[in-house]
Amino acid sequence: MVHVKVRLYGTLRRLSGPGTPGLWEGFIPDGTDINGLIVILGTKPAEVAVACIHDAACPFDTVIPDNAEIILVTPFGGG
Amino acid sequence: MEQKYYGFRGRILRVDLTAMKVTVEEPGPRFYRVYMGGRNFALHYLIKELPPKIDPLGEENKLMFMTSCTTGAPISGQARHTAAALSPLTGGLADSQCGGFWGAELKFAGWDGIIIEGKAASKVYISIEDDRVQLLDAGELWGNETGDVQEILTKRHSSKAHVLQIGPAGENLVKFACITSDLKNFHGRGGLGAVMGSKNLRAIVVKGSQRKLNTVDPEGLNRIATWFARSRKGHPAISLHHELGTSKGVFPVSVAGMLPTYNFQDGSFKGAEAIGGETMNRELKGRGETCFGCAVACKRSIEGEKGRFKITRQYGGPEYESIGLLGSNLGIDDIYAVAASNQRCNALGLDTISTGCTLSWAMECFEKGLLTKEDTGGIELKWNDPEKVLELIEMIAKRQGIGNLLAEGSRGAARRVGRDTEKYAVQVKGQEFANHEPRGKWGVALGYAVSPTGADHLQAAHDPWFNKPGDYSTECNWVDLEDLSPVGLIDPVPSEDISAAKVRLFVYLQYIWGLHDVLDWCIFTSVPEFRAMSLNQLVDIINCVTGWRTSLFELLKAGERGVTMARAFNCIHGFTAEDDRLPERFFEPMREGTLKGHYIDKEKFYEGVKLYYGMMGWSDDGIPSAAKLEELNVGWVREFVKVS
Repeated sequence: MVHVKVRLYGTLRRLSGPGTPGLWEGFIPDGTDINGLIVILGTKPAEVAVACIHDAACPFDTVIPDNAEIILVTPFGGG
Repeated sequence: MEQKYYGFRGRILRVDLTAMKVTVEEPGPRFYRVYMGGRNFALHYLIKELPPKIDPLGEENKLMFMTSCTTGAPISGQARHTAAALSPLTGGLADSQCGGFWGAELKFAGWDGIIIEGKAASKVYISIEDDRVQLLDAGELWGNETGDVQEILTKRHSSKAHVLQIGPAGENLVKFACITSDLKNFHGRGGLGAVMGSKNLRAIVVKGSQRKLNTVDPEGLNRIATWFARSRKGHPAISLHHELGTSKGVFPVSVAGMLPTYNFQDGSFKGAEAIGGETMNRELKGRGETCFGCAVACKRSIEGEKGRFKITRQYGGPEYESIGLLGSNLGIDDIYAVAASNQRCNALGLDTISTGCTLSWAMECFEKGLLTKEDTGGIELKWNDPEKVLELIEMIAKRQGIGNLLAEGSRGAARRVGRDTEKYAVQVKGQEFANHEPRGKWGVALGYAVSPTGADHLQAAHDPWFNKPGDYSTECNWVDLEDLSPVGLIDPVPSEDISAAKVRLFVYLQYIWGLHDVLDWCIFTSVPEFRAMSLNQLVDIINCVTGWRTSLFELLKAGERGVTMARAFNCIHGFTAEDDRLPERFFEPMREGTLKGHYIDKEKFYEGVKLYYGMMGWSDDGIPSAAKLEELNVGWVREFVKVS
């Protein structure tokens, strides 16, 4: 298992851990990629526009390393 | 008054400021059905009544304020109204929709719109209390900030009256002066505040007593309104919008590489989180405020103090656009500083978007040595200098020193300065870009280029929503095309693409977004970003209000009619396809950020523009064809614009 901290933005905030708006922290199986993490969090990759590991944008098939700090954001239009 | 209309009042007020005379027009049921409201009402009059080659700040320009059939109805989303005129910033159409309460109040006073013409001999304001319309002396209001004038006029007329006004920037004819409604809602773009100022008109105060709009099916309307109000509470996108408003987008857009930074040189900003919605909410005690009758309540209200930055709730709080263009685009990473700049713009009556973008032009030119202290009166311009930004905002509004140059907008200023500085002016047709980097969303680039009002981010929904295939089976998956399937849009299209599929997507979206401007309807209650009210529900709403037995087909045609009439208006005033050009910057690679190295393919882009003209039924030169005007039931426009 690897430890991850996931910062969630946009509507993904609803997937936050209890009492920690915008943040999900926990363990995921070794070898999980961003696509897999999104499913573990309880949604689908279609809802996520961009994922970052340690502040660098990455493809969704990137395998997540231990102690990764991840950012997931939804698309945003205009207004 | 005998009620002959549903939704409308059947009357438009015409105020001749030269003659100080007020008349009433009753355009008749056909006018209301064909044009439906807002932008289309305004264009009907502007095309017929504004001759070409007039001065936008001269007596011949006319300023329109229009509502739609739904304005004032008891349902979320209807509270906007339109202002339009010939723009002093672009020389073409200025057309802007503003939320709040003023539009509904105008309807409650018994009016569907106001046409302002001529120029008053002295400073005036208009007071409307139902049929009692007065032109009153505004001498003591002139020169005051908007907050002071709001207080004077609501004290004088009624605490329940609603005030539409300009600030000192409008009085001083700043080319991007705005009009504010009750201090927190804005006709931001196009310099409409300067048009109002040029007429010596400071404010329009409205109070109405007919507070119930006559609708054909009030029960049906109530059913939809109740459904929306209830469902929004459990709706993730709308709940978030209620909590953070548009400011929610600042950090995600930076992560995605599309947050304008350092005058659109970069797309990701290191300080984005520090100026983002979550930070603003936490640091500045953010809370939501509403427009008339809306359950979403996405407007920001903030307060707080840090050093010389004191922010009160009087002027609301900055939206996403203002945060970016007064923040990251100037290299500023302090939310207190950004909020303070926003507050001063609102007090002085300046469009925050053009203000920020004009300042970023000046800063980049200074950095490159194209502007010097000789030009600026000894002021050093640099990134991340909030104190200087505040000083410059005051100077622009008062047209003092370098502020007099910047008050012309980035293109106007660049043309006065010369020295090849126009290439750093991030604008189309003279209007500055909004807070969206188009190199990551080419449909937005197309919108910036062909928008009749100059660069505008609200021509259509933005590309990232249509990047991926959707899953219709998942209720909470709103990143898909399901809501657009009633118009036949079913295929995903990549963001960085300008193929025929993208142009078709843009055209249909522009009809939908154009319809919102015709109905003065808020996009934040409707498709596709929020997946709240569907297009077909919008049809039901119009039918419940008017009894027209309308259809999605007719409504989309109304949207298309507005887009094409706007194009025709610009053609009359000398615009050609040559004006649909993006700054060269966007065909060059981005310097930094998630999208570093990305650029728009220039050749493909202009092929896309041509294809857009073709899909719209316009010539290769972008002129609406006679056949298209006839098909849209506005054949009369042919006599004003040269068509083939």
